[in-house]
Amino acid sequence: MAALMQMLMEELVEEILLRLPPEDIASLLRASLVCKIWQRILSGRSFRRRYSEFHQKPPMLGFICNVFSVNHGYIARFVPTAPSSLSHANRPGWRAVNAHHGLVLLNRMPRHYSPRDNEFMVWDPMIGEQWELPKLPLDSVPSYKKPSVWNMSMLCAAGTTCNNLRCHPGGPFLVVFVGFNFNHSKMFTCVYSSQAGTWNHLNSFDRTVPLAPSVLAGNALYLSFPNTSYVEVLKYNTDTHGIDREHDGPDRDARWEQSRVIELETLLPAADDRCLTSTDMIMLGFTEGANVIYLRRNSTLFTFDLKSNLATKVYEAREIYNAVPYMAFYTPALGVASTSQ
Amino acid sequence: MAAPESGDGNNGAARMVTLISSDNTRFEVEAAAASLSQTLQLTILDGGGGGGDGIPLPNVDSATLSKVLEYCIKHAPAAANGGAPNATAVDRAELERFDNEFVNIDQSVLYSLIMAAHNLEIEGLQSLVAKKVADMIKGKSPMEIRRTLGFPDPTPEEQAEMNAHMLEYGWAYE
Repeated sequence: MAALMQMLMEELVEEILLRLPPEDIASLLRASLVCKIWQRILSGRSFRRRYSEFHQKPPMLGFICNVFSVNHGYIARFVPTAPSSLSHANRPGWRAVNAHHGLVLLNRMPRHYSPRDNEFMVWDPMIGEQWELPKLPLDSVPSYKKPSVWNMSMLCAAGTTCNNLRCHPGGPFLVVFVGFNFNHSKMFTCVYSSQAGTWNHLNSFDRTVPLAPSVLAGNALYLSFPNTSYVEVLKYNTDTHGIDREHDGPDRDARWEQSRVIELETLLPAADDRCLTSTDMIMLGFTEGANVIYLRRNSTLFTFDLKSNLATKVYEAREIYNAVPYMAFYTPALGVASTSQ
Repeated sequence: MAAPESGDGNNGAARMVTLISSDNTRFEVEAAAASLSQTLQLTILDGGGGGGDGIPLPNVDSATLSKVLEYCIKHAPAAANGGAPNATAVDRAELERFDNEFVNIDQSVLYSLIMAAHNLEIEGLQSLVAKKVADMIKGKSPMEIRRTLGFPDPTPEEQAEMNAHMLEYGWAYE
């Protein structure tokens, strides 16, 4: 047979490869070995960008499980939900705070001490790279006024049009720190830019501690406060590179409403553990827009689809204390990897 | 069939255009269907293709063109509705059934179709064929993909690279 398909112009080969499903990263990897041209297309930056634009929602590739064992201390461990080379990716001495678009924010967990609120690292398990952040500029704050609870999120620094960090692998990112001090009703914000390599000025203002969890939508973090209808929106300002507080007062239209109640006990597979109580069940997180929540019951991780009411067991390990869902686009970069080594 | 809004000056009857394949076969088709092609749409808007003139398509043979037009005629009513926002679920299911069957064809025809769709800028058809080929690739090893798509046997160098890859990325081949 004439090798017609081999004669297809690269533009059309790209159209075909774009349509490989993002959750099937093995197929993408195998396709990159078909010939040099396919390999070049798949490992190219423009393909990576087009691929994430085409599929829009990055697929769930796994969890970063936070594990503690007496022998090894704290470990952030990647647990894939699909076949992947990352099954043994570990970061001992760290725990995952959250993950956005393929990057994981880690907090240092020394073996015999409490977590270091100051020490953070951003990890890209797909390419095995990590970036340690400088310490938060909290020196000027007296210790009794320092934030006692905090939350961090990551944004893409490429601009407001981009909400996908993976289209700029190893590229610029921002880390937004929001901290609170219970006793002094103070809120702190600070932004780290990977381009500048520094944290910007620490802002503090009066605010009680909000209800957890906060919701990140685009470049904005939504916080709601206990016993009020107050919602505060913290938005990253791409011009000033600081944080704008958009709503500074009660928002009459914004409030949480209960949409439904789910009887998980009857929907999850029967537990083989002894003595199960409702306190053994913990919600770990959810995927924006995908109607999937993540649960831990005792030592087992589940995904739960809110549309189909289907629970799927993902992973079981006695030492898990929480986990962060990991979603990312993966495009094979065989040629790229070998030139950067 | 919906009344064609572009049937200018033809007393309500659907405006027809003539397309001429590379092997000189003439196809008479409704302008609305031919206009699924961005390239043809421009010519037709300029008033071309009517009467005895016909639009020559030197890159598309008659077998491919008849297949392309089969697709265009089927999709023209939905396209006229601007992506068919008011199409019923039955209509959409019927189109989907048609599409699935339409690409269930020999690979050489798929190749000619995607080339024609590209030349004539028929986005839906190009996307449909690309998806079909992607489905043919899915789940296969590099060697199986090469065989499926009729690539020649790999050079010793390519073969060695594939073998090394299988060793390194065993998980992707399970």
